Amino acid sequence: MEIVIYKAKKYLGILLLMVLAISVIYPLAWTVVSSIREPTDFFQDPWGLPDEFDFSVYGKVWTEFNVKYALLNSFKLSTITVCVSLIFTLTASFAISRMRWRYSNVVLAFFLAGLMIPGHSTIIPLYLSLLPIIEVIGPKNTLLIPYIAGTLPISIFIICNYMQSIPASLEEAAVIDGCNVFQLFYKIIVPVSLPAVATVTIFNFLGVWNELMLGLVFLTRNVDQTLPLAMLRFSGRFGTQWSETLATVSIAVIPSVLLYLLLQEKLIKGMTAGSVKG
Amino acid sequence: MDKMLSNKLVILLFIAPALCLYALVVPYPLLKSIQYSFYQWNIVGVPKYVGLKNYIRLFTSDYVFVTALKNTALFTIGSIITQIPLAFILAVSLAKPTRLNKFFKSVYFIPCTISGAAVSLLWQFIYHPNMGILNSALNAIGLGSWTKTWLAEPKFALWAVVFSMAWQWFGYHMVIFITAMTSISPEIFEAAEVDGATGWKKIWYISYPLMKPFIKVSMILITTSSIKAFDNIYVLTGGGPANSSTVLALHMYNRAFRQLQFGYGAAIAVVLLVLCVVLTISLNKLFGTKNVDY
Amino acid sequence: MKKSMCLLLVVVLLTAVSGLAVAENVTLTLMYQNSGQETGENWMDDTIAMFQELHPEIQFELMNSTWGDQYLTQITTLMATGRTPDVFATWTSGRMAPFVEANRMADLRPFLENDPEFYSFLQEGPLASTTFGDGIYAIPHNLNSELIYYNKQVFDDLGLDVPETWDDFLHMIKVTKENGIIPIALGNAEIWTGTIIYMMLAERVMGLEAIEETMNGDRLWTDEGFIKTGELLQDLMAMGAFEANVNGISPDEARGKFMSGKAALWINGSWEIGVLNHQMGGENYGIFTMPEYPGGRGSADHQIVFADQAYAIGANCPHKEAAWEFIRFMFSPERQEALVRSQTIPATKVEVDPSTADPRQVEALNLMAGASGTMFPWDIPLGAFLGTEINKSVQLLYMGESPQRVMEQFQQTVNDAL
Repeated sequence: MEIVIYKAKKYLGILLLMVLAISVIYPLAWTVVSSIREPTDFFQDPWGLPDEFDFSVYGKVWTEFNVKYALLNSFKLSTITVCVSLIFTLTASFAISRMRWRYSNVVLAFFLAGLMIPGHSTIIPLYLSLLPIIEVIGPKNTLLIPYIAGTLPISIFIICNYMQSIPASLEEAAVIDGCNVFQLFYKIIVPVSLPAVATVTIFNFLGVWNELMLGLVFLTRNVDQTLPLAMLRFSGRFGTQWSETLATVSIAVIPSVLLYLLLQEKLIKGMTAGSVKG
Repeated sequence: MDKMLSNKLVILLFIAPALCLYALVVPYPLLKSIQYSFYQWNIVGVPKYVGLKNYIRLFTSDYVFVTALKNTALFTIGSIITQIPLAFILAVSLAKPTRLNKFFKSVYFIPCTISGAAVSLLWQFIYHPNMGILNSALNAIGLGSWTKTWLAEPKFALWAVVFSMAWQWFGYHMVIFITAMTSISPEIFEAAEVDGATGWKKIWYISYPLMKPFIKVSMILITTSSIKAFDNIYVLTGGGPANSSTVLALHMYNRAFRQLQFGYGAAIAVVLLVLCVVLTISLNKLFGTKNVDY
Repeated sequence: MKKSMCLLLVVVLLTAVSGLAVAENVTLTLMYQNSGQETGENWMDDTIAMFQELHPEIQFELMNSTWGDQYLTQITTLMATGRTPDVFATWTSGRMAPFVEANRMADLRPFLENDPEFYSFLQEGPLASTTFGDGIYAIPHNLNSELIYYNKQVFDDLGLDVPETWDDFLHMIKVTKENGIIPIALGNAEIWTGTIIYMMLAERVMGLEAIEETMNGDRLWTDEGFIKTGELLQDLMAMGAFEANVNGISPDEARGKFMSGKAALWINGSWEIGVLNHQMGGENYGIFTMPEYPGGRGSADHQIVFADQAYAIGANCPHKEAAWEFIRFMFSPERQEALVRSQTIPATKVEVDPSTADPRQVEALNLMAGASGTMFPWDIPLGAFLGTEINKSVQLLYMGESPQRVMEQFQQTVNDAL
C-alpha cells in the first residue's frame, strides 16, 4: 500500500512538473510557429496549429523594417560588451579577491552599490556627460561605455566570489614553480575561474541583448536600432501588428535561448560556486 | 608571495581599468540627477532651482505617487510570494541530478533568457480578452464566467503583470536554490534520518535553515528589481487603467520623459534609491548575516 | 608667363562654374514618427524617393522607427543635448514651445518671406500654432478635427435621426440604451480620448471665449462652467451613455464595438476616417457635431480643430538650404494632393476635388470650413505636463469624483506649475 501511495505521489509530482514545463515551452513555441502562419488564418484561431507556412513576414521585417540591422547591432554590442567587460572584470576581481590591500572591500562595495541605482533617472545626465565622446565616435559606439560599466557590478560580484573559493595552496604551488603575478593571473586563476566566466558571459550577453531604455535614448538612427527596439515598433496607434511583432520576437529570442542551452551546464556550475555565497 | 600580492603598482594596474570606467559612468550621472531633484527642468531649457519644492509636492499633493508607492509594495510582495515558494519547492523536488530533473531545470530557466519586452508582448496576447489563451482555456473548462479583460480591469492589471514576471523569473530563483541544496552535504540528511526526520520535516528543519542565506539573496534580488521594475509594466499595461498598475519607476518615467518634468522625476528616483538601500539593509538584518552551520 | 596666367585663370573659372553646377553632396538627418502601419507613411516614403530623383546630391539618414512616447523620449534627448536632427517632426503650440524657447529650431520666416508663393500656399490658422513671437518655427503637416461618428446601421434599425438638438441627443442615448446598445463607445485607457467629449460639452456650455480666457490664465479652472460641464458629463454617465468601466477600455476595443454595431457613437479625431473606411466601409458611418446645450454660450458650429504634427529644421543644421528645399517639396501642391489621397487632411490650401476625394473626408473638410470658431484640444496649448494633468483630471470625472474637487485639484496643479 505504502509503495502504491509513494508511486502515485511520484507520478503526480512528475505530472505537475510536466504541466509547468509545458506552460513555459508552449507560449514560446507558439510565438515561433505563429509568426510563420498566414495572418488571416492566425486571427481565426490564434492558438491552433498551422495549415501551411508563410515566411513572408520575415522577409518584410528583415528588409522593410531594418531588423537585419537590429540583429547585427544587437550581436555586435552584446559581443563587444561581453569581451571587454570580461577583461575588466577578471583583472579587477583578481585584484580585489586575491591581492592584499586595505581598501579592497571598500572598492567592492563601491561596485556593488551600482546595483541599487534606478537606471532611468540617470539617462539624461549620462548622455550629457558622454556628449564629447558621442561627437567623436557616434552614439552607437559610445553606448558601449555605459553597457560595459553596467555589467561590472554583478560580474565582479560573481567572479570575486568564485576566485575567493580557490584554495591558496594553488597559488603557492604556482609561485614556487616561478610564476610572477601576471603569470599567476592568466595561467592559474583565470583558467580555474572558467565556470564563473561562463555564467558572467551569458548574463552579460543577455543583459545587453535585451536592454531597452538606454538603446531607445542613444540609438535614434534606423541603422543603429537593436532588437528590443525593433520589437516594440509594431505596437502603434492602431493596435499591435501581431505577425510582425511575433516574427521580430522570434528573431530576438532564438539566439538567446540557443546560447543558454549551449552554455547551461557551465552557467549553473558558475552560479553554484560563485554567485550566491551568502 | 605576500610581497608579490601586495605590490601597489600591480594592484593599481589590475583595478584601474574597471574602476575608472565605472567611476566615469556611474557616480557622476547619479549625483547629477540627485542635484536635478532640487530643480525644475523641462530637459531642453535652463534648469531653475526650486529647493525642496519637488519633494514637498511629491509627498503632499501627488496622488499618483501614493498609488505608485502602494503598487510598488504590492508588486514586490506579490513577486516574492509567487516566485520564492514555487522556486523552493521545485528546488527540493529537482535537487537529485537525474536526467529528467536536469531537463526540467533547463526548461524552467529558459524564460529568464528573454527580454522583459518580449515576455510582455507574449503575455499581452495570452491575456487578450477575445483571442488570448487564458480566456480560451477558461471557456474550454467551463469557467467562462471567470473570463476577464485582464489588463483592462483595475483589480487585475497589476496582478497580471506580477504573474507574467513570476513566469519569467521563477526558474532563476530555482537555480539559486538548487545550487544551495547541492552545497548541503548528504551526511546531514543521513544523520537527520537516523534521528527520525522524514519528508517535509527534513526540509523544514534542515534544508530551510541552511538555505536561509540563499533565500535572503533571492529576496534582495526580487526586492531591488521589483522596486526598479519598468519594462514589463510599461509594455504590458503602461501603468493603466487609471494608474491602477502604475509603479514608482513608471511614474518617474512619465514625469521625466512624457511630461518633461525631469527635476520632479529625479526626485522620484531619489525616493526609489533610498527605498532600495533601506530595504536591502533591512532584509540583511531580518535574515541575519550569520550563516547557519551544522 | 602670360599664357600660363591665362590658363590658370581659365582653370579657376572652370572650377568655379562646375562648382556651381554640381552642388556638393549633402546628407540630411530626417526624423519623424512612424509606427510602421499608418496610411500616411507610404506618403513619406514616396516623398523621399521622388525628392531624391530630383536632387540626387541630397542623401537622407533616416530616424523614423519610433512613435508616440518613444519618439518624444528620443527627440527630447536630442534636443537636450543639442544633437538636433536636420529636418524633424514636432508637435505644435504648447507642446512645441519648450523646444523653441531653448533655441533648438531654426526660424523659417526668412525662407517663407523669400518665397511668397509658397508662403501663401500655407493656411494661416495652422501656421499660427507654430509661430512664436516673430518667428515661424515649423510648417504644420496635417489638420485634425474632433468628430462624433455614428453607426448608420444602428441609427436605421432604431429609427433614429442625426441629433440636431440637445433633446435629440438625449433621446438618442435613451433609445439606444433601451435597445441594449452602448450609446457612446469610449476607450479611455488612452486618457485623452475621454477629454474630447468633455471639451465638446464645455464649449457648448461656456463658449469659446471663456475657454480661451482660461487657456491664457485670465479665468480659473474652478469656473462654474467647467464644474457644470463635469456635472453634465456625470449626468450622461448616470443615463448610461457609456459603459461602466470606460477607463479600462482601450480605444481599439471601443472602435471595434462601434464598428460592429455594439455601440452607436464613437467620438474621436478625423484621423480615424482612414481606419474606419478601411475596416468598416465609408458608407456605413456618418459624422456630426455636438448639438447646442440649452442656455449655453457655445455653438454647434464651433469645433475642435488642430494641427498636431509640423516639420521643423534644426537650429544647428549645417545645410539649411537643402533642408528647406526638402520641406518645400513635402508641401508642394503635387505632394499635398498625394497627402489628400492618403486620407490625411492637409494644412495647406491644396485644392481637394470633391468628386474624387473620399466622401467622409470631404464631409469632415466641409465641417471644418464651415466652422465659425475653433479651439485646440486643450492638451496641446497646455503643453506636455499640464496637458497630461487635465486629461487625468477628466479621467477622475469618469471615476465619479466630484467635479468641484477635481477642478480645484487641477487649478492647484496649474498654480504649482507656474
